[in-house]
Amino acid sequence: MSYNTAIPQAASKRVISQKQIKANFTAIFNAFAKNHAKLGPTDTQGKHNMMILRPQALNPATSPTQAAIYNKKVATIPNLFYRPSNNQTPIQMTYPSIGVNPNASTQYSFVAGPFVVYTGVLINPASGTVVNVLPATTLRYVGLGVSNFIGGTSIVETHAIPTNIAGNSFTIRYEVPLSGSSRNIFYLAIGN
Amino acid sequence: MSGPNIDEYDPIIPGPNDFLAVSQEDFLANFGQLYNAFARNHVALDHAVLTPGNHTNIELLQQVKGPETSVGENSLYSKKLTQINQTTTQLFFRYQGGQAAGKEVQMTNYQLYSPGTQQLGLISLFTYLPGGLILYFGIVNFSKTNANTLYLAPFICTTVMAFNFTAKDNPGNEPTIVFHSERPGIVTTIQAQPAFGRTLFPAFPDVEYYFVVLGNTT
Repeated sequence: MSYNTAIPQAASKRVISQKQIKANFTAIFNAFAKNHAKLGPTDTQGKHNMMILRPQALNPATSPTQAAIYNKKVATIPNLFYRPSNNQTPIQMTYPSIGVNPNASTQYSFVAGPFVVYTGVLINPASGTVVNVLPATTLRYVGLGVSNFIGGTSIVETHAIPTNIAGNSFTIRYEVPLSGSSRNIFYLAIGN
Repeated sequence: MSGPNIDEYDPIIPGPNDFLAVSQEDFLANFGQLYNAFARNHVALDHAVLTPGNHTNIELLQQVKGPETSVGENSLYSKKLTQINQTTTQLFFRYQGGQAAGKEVQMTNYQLYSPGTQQLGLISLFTYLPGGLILYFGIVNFSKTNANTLYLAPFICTTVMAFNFTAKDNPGNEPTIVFHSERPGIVTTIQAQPAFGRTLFPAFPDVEYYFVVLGNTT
């Protein structure tokens, strides 16, 4: 039974009010148990088990001494937001998805902003290889690292650079050796 | 303001045959207990200035598993995490339920502590990314470190996913890299090797490199 804010009535008989008051106390107990340690144990009651956040249509107002954590949809996906004090600009804390399978050769996470941080490794890619990172954002930074270089007989620069950084893609370039060599190339990219 | 000294909240009072004198004490006890419980983590119900119902802080009791979320909802909670033989309580975020993206994301990782005494030629810092990624960064001078080695402390990186070294004042000497695991399943060090064809001696002259290494810890 849901909580009734209009009981007891002055003219209600006691037998009626008793059931209504009991129902309200039970409703309070059950509602409080959502997200919170249940009423009763004095060492934990009032603390939280979790925070399940319902989506908010508007950013909550914050006073000079308040900050807020809340859920707001980006397109159709609810995301976590933080609003600093005094109604400063809200900051999106999460991205709608994440891919951090440790066995995957490409992974991505996010940082507040949100910015998406991409990582990946290519096994002996040819110079000129185009890399498209997903989910697509506009890349703001790309850095490359070379590992496990096996050289040929010629002097070869083992330094690889990203070129043609545009949208969600970049091109791996390195000095093409006169004879065979191989290398693995790791990338770290950040986009928003 | 503190509430009265009372027993535990009773959700099934008043009884149908209780006298009003009994019920009055029960009501007082429940209102007092509710007041005390609500005052923890929340602005008190009778606060004269702040808004009752707002949170003052959030203490998250450790959960065995993440809560179910409905479409439109997400959640924050804490959960026990055993990692590299260390058991800690970490913060988790869970996407909305009912969709493929409704999985949980580890937001914090291990416990923050200083990597310890800085080895010669090394300034090493680290932070975390959601999902259990760790980002090492800093400055290293390989000519001053033991065996051209960069230690990835804390030693919780299971897979190196990306790295980049940028020579501070001597471009073109960026090293190639070999990973080493001195502990089972953990990448503990990165060993730098001079670029092929370089004849510089020592292998790395007194050059400082800005470095960044991104690894997975799960």
